[in-house]
Amino acid sequence: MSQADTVLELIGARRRDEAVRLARSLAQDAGLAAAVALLAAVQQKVGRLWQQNEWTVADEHAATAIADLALAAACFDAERRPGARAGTVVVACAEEEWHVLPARMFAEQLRAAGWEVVFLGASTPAEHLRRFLAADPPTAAALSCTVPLHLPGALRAVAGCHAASVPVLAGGAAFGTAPNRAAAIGADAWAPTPQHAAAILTRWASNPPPLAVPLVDDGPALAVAAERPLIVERAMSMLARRFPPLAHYTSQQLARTQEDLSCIIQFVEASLLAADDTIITDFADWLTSILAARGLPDGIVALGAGVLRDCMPTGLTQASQLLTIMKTYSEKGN
Amino acid sequence: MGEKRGTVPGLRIGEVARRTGMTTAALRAWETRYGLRASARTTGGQRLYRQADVDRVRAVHRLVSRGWSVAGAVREVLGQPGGLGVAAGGSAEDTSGQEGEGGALPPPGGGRRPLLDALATVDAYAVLAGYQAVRDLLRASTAGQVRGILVGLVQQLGGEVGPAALQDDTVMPVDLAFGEGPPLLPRASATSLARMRLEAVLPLVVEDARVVVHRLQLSALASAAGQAGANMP
Repeated sequence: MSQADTVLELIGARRRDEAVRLARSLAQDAGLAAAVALLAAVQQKVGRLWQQNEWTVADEHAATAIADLALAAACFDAERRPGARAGTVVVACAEEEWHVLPARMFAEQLRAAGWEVVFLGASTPAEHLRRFLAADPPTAAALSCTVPLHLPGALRAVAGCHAASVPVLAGGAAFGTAPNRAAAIGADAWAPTPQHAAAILTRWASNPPPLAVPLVDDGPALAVAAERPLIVERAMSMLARRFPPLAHYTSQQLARTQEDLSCIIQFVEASLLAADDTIITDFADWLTSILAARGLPDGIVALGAGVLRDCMPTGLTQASQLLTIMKTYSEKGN
Repeated sequence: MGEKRGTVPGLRIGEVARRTGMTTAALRAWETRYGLRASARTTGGQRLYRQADVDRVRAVHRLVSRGWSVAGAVREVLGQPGGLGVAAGGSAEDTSGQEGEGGALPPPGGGRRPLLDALATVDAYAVLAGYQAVRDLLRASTAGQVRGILVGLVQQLGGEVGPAALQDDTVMPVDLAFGEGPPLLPRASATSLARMRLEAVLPLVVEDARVVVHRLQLSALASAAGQAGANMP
């Protein structure tokens, strides 16, 4: 049994104190990075348990609260590397991004590496971020985004930072495993790990980078966003014809269905914004597993994508193409 | 997109974005939030920026990059306070900014200024509610009290609080219970003033609340370990 499984079991049994103690002693023996890696692995397992409908939202929140406390305890003893004091970094989450733990893990590791870190918590509105940075410009802003759904919020955050002439380092699961998405929204660099981030920030501290511009035009994504309510409304009535069981749905189930359709469109917007089709195919995989675990029939994701594509207003060609990709990809998977 | 300059007396938003170094999203936001709009539209409803419009955008952009608030910069450039073309909503910004800067209260979290600065972009009512909540947090001695303070703040700003089961776009996914009991999520309609206030104030107050809760939990842990004679490192 891996250490992450042990912690997960403790958390699942609500044996909070033992989980906290384990993380804390790991931090003391092997360093903060080891404790953070452990807690991150645990959180991934927690997410998967929710995805598979084995844990409720309440279980997930309780687990996250324990992981959060364990992180706080681990940081309690973390030694700050003396004399580093390389500069100040403001760590913020993208607008609408409420997954705050990954950003906190990053902030704490940066702090332990000797940086002065100001952590702004979840979802900072871009205009507030700009004002804050302009008042006292740091070496850089580090922007965290976990769910690709919030890449439009990340784009606004980057624009806000740049309006305050502060360079932006992007990181988090939403940016994937290559620099392309971060570059698309105009971030000045992308870091896959805190170590990469620290190296980039050190470089910036002595040699500030020229501010980047977004590589992708956000027009197509905004055009889709503007039509989203209409598209979803049309899709709900078309879905009723193509998927007869919908007639027996409760109002809450209908609301959920509508929400799922809207979510698909938002992921299409994110794919357009980042010019990255893997956002929509990854989302198809995720949605398929979520819906399958909740008893929905095979092929439901392909059906939804097909319906949405057929409801797409003329002119939004790229979005239609992405929905076709999602449809064929989901069909192949089943 | 394909129209020639000669037939269309203006620039499309994408071209203006390129020329001013802004994003089209920011241009649209400046229009809806601050009334800095293109003076014409195509028959298809697309924005058309005349040269004067582009100059205004440039001027506002310049001021903003020097640290002005967008609302203040738009007022300055249009030169007509509260007049035609300046959306309401920006006007509260600067007055509440004064409030924040002039306030005698120390920033929470020991020398941290984000709350002060972030709150400066919302109205004085939300600023004061946020400060009061942070002050109350400093006196809280149980996680239950912390939860009570946060719930009170949400309600004071016009939101509601409910269980996690009700998921729709009115829910803000931030748990006010910190794992002590079932999740408790704030709710406010996506377009309401309450939502705007909560989005500005809540993340920062929650950060402070989290620190308080952790301190309480960790000291409880330490004293439990001390009583048991355990070798808590």
